[in-house]
This record gives sequence, C-alpha cells and structure tokens, in this order.
Amino acid sequence: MADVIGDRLPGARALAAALVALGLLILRPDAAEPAGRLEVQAELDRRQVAVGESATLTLTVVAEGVEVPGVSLPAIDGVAVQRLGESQGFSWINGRVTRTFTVAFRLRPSAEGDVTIPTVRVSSGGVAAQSSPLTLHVGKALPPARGGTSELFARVVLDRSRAYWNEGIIARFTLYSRVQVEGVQSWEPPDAVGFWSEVMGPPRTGRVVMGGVPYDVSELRVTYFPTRTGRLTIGPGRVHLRVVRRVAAPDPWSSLGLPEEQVEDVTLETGRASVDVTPLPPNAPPSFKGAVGDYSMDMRVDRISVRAGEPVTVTTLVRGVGNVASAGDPDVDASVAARRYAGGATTTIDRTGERLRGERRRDVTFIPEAPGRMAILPVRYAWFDPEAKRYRTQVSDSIRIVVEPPGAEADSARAFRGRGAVAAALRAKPGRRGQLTLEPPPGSRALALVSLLGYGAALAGLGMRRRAERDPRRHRAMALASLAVELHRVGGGSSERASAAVRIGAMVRRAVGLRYDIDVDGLPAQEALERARAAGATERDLKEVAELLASLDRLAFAPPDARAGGRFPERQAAERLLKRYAKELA
Amino acid sequence: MTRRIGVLVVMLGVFLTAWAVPLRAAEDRADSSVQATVTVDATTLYNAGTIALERGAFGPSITFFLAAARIEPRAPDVRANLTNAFVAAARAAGDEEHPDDPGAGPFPIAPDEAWWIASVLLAVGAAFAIARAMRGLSRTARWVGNGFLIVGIALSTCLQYAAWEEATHPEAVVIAPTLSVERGPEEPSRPAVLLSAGERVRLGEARGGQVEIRLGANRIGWATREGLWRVADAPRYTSRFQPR
Repeated sequence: MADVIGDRLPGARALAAALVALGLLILRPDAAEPAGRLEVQAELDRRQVAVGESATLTLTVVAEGVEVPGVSLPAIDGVAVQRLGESQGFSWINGRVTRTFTVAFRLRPSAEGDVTIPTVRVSSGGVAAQSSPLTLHVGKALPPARGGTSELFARVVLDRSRAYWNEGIIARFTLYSRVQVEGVQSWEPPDAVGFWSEVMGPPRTGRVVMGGVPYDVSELRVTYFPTRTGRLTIGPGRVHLRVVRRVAAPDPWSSLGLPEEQVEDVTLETGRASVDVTPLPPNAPPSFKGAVGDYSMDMRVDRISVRAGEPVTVTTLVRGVGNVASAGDPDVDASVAARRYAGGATTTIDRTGERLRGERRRDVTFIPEAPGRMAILPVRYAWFDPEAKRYRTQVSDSIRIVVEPPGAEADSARAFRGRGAVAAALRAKPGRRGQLTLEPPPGSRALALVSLLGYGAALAGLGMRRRAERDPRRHRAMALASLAVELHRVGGGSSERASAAVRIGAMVRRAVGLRYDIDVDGLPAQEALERARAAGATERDLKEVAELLASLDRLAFAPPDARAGGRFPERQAAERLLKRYAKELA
Repeated sequence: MTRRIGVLVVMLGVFLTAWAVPLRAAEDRADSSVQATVTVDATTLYNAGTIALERGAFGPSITFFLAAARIEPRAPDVRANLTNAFVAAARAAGDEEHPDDPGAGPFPIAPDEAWWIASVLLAVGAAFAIARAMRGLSRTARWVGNGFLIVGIALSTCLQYAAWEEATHPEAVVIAPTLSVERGPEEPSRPAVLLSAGERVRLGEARGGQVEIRLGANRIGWATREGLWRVADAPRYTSRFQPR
C-alpha cells in the first residue's frame, strides 16, 4: 500500500505531461503536411577552363513543402565570383507544390590548378540539403590557335583529360572574335580517330571576357565516346567564316569620305587536345552490354492475358545519359516455351542539354504455344557508372501472363484496349464492403467511448482511494481495528490471565492515544488520561477508561487463586471500548 | 492535484466529444452527399475503375481506385491499377516522370481498421487503468497501460483530424481533360491554373456551380463543379462503367 502512495505523483505528472506534449505535437499546424523536401544542385557549364576564361556555376534549389531558402556561394580561393542573376519557378503536379530557385555565378580563376567548388548548404523548415562539391580544372594556357590573331582565333577545350572507354567527353570548339563577321560561320568538327562522335546541336553564340577583353564567341559542342583505349587526340577543328575588314579610303578628299570595306573568306583551325582513355574495370556483370553513363530501365507488356498462339509484346526502354546508341538492349526471356521474335531497337537522342541523353526502345514478341501461365522473367540491365567508378545493375519484376486456350472467348475484362495500361483484371467475386467516409465505425466508436469512460472512472476511483489512504483519521481507525484483532488473540485462560491483563492495559492506553491522537507511550495511566482530557476526552470516557485500567491492574497483581474463574469481564470491556473508538473515528 | 485531475478530465471530455459527435454538420457544409454514408462493395469500385482505365478515362478510374483503396488498401490489384492509372494520367498530361505510388505506404490499412486499432488500444489502456485502481499494479504494468492509452489517443487524434479534413475539405479528382482554376472574385489578378485529368485536389466552399479548389493547405482558386468527382461520391458513378 505504501509504495502506491509513494510513487503516485511522478506517474500521474508524467502521464499528464506526455498527453499534453502529444496533443501539442499532433495539433501542430504542419502536422498534417508530409515532411518537406529540399534539394540543392550545383552544375558547371564547363569543367575545364584556361586562366583568364570564366565558367558559369548554376545553383538550383528545389523546395517541396517548405519555403525556398536563400542561397549564397562560399568564398573560393583564387577565383573571382560574380553573381549573374537568379530566377524562380513554381509547379504543382498531382497535388504537390514544388518551388525552384536558380542562381547563376560567373567564376573567373586567376591561377592554374584544380579549383574545388565547395559544398553549398541550405536549410528551411527544419530540412537541410547540400550540393556535391565540384572540381574546375584551370589549365595553363589554351591550346594554340592556328592561323588566328589576337582579334580572331579558334580553340578547342575538353571537359576532361581522362575518361573511361565509351564515356562521353564534351569538346567545345570555340571561335573568339573581335572583328565584324558576315553571315554564319560554318564549323567542320574533326573526324577524331578512335571516337564515336555526336554533335550537340547548332553552335551557341554569346559574349565572354577573356583577360579583360570582350569577345564574341561561337561555340560548337561535340560529344566524343572513345571506342578504344590509350592516348587519343581530338582536333584540329576548322571553322569557315567571312570577315569584313575596313580598308582606308584611297582619296581623302572624296566627297563621301567613308572607309571602304572588304569581305574576306577565312578558315581557322583549332589546336589539338589529348585524352587518356582507360579500359573499364574487370568483372563486369553478365548483363553488361557496353553502356557507360547514367541509365535506367523500364519494362512493359501490352497485355496480361492472351490466347495460345497470339502474340504478347514486351517493350524494354533504356534511357539515360551516355552513348545510348551503343548501350545495348537487355535480354528478355519467358518462363515457358514460346516463339520469340526480337524487333529492332529504336534510338532517340536528345542533343539540347548539356550532356547527350536519349532512350532506346526495343520490342520482343512472344507467342505462347500452350495455355497456362507464362511469366516474363526478371530483366537485368547493367551499365558502368564512371562517376562512382563501378558497375550498376537494375532488375525488373517478373510479369505474369495468363495464356487462355486457343479459340476461347476473349475476356473483355482482361484484354488490353490500348489506352490505359491495365495490370490487373476484373474481379468476379464480391469484395469487402465498407464506407467511404473516414469516420469511425459504430462498433469502434462505442468501444472507444466505453474505454474512455472506464478510464475516467478508474481515474476517479484511484483518486478517491488515494485520498482515503492519505487521511490520518483513517490511519488511526485502521490501527485501532488491527489493535482489536490483536486483543482478540490475547489468551483468556486462568493461568495466563495476569499477563493478559498487563497486555490489555497497554492496548487500552494505546487505544486512547489513537482515539485522541496523542502520544501516551511509556506514560503512567493517570498522566495519559490527563493528556486525553486535554485533547478533548469526555469525563465519562475518562472515567470508563480509568475504571478499566484500574480493574486490569488489580487483576494483574491479584493472588493466583483470586484470578481463577471462567469470566474475564475486563477483556470484554476493553473490546467494547476499542470498537467504540473505531466507530467514532470512522 | 485538483488541477491535474481537471486537465485530465478536460482532455478526456474532448476525446469523448470527438468520438461521440459525428462530423455530419461539417460535411453538409462541404457539399456532401448521402452516398458517402452507404456501405459499398470494393469490387464494384475496382471493376468500374478498371473499365474506366481501359477506356482511357483516367480521372474516373483514379477516383474509383482511390475509393476502392479506402476499403481494401492492401489489395494488390487495386494498388497495381491505381499506380497504372496515375502513370497513364501523368503521361497523358505530358509528364513523363512517374508519379509516386499513392498507395505505397509501409502499413496500408483501411480507415475503419485504423479506427478499430485505436479503439482496442484505448480499451487495453483503460483495462490497465481499471486494474490499477482496483488492486494496484507494478510500475512496469502501469507504464505499459499508459503506453497503450497514449498510442490509442494519438492514433485516434490523427484519424479524427483526417476525418475532419475529409468532411470539411473532401478529396476529389479532376475528371475533365483540362480544368481551369480561376481566381476568386476578391482575389488579386493572376493567370488561371490548369489542372489535368487525374490530379487529386481538395474541395472547399461551394458557390453555385463553382467550388473552391485546394492543393494541400493552399487555396488556388475556383473551378466548375462538373469537372471534379469527390472520392466519397464514387459509388454514384459506377453505373457508367460496367462491363459490356
């Protein structure tokens, strides 16, 4: 009993605190919203520049469910940073609101070497994100231009000097011009031996500042994929253009006095750039077909139920960044015997982005011979990730196809109608019944109500019980009750009546102390009664107790033959007294 | 002591009230229908959704599958076709990115199942409390009982909030190929927002033939009511998509 009283308060306080904290947590304004998403991505428009040239760093922050944070670029040693501009975007797809914030910086390194673009950290609404660090290679000098002048020259720059076999290398053939150019220049990219090349769209024009001097530039980007290993060379590239030159007027006294202009056909050559091509690591997975880059695979079937002898077509779709044309197609197999016809692959290449990307689609048709169940086995596709320097493999799920007997009635529910991709068929049996509201069912509502009421009643009962346990009158009444039990056990035989009288006398004095809440231990009877009188005892009560105690004293000190006899009225009087006291306290 | 008991009594009263009072009044304000209170067969909704998907009606099919998923959230066929419907709708809208699987929660359970779990947790917690009041319990047993009760209250609070949100801002799906969400009369001028078929929104106040459109907790404007189907109203439309 005592332990219940002792640890009651901490338990109730902790429960109340937990309930309140839980309520606050649940009722937060954003409790219903899913956790926000924050991403930050850093991208360089080129990975290699020469001293005096500049590169553009683009930081893109994507925020979903949180506010878009501000972005700042930490200081970079040896690089002059200029904030070019920023833009914001907003979109919602399937109920999700996404905000984007893009900031562009111009980076102009002042010394050669590798410059590390540090990690950019952003945080908003308790969500944090950081970008990956980037490396900008700053070369000693640009490859020499051939046939050019400081006013007009062409150069080639590679985004990397080391690459894996079949890894994309972006070559930028750039024409720098401070003279007037007529018409559109014509680029002639080199046929690099040992490379598969893809020209990345039409030349881009713009303006750059190099060594403090502004130039008009025309840049042609070509992605080269090495087809063999070793040290390979790209270049020279050629550009044909028409330059307008001013010639001094032959007659200074001419009436017009305007300078004459002369159009000149010029062909410029870039220098050469070398790249070291290393072979791919050994132990390639069996499903590796030569894809190097960043890929993903998808697989679909045109129907999940066919009749024996009818075709079902499995389409594999490989998409990603890299040489998609040489990426190979995954192998598709069925679990049962079926005629198999593999169609040609269709490759689509997107040259508009910074890197060459595309997708490769191939159809494989199976014609099952016998009815039953057929499964398209899991398709594995592996590629080499040059950034992570390891092979990656993606495995699809198997697809089960029901093969009906030939000539069976076509099940309109299972046949694919070509508009929506139905993966599962119609049901024939009734399903579970239920309501579409989110309210509690009546049964659970009743159970919860009864439980909460029961809990409330238990709390109330517990409180009453604890209050009673803390009442000192009740403690004294209980002590009196236990004293009465003890008195009942005192032996009443003639031989032990003297000792019994002594014990009963002590019990009576103790009962008086409990009744009037006074300490009478060790006191003589008269003094104990005086204290009881001071504590409010009535004269009648005191008289009764005094007579009882005197009678018990007489009995204790009487000769043995005088104590003989069957009756023991003092004990009965003591019992009556204790019962009366207990009743008065209760 | 008296204050603590008062706090507990007030919280208990709040939960009792929340459990005892249905949300009909709020639902009525949100253009409710009687259909929502009727028990329906998940198979009826699933088959209608499948047929709608075959016919290329992505908005209706998503509505039917979302309704079926409220009754049978773990049914693999419902989840598979719901995912396919979302992918097909996204592709039809020109979005090649695969949307997230809407039913891919770690423990998909139906609302009524969740309510029953909350009720049983509350009942177990109350049983521990009653046992403690009658004959006393060890400290471990008391904390176990309190844990059941706290989890039950937390779960029922979340469910109550979800039910209130559904009653005041019911979930709906765009069924029109393109739904133009215009600004309200008192809102500043801005371009209209175009929603495509299959997009999930929440509905707010209804005025005439127009209804307020909400994305998450944001009001984005007003659109015509005919271009949207409430998920809770899905049973009324199943007759339009029956097997031939």
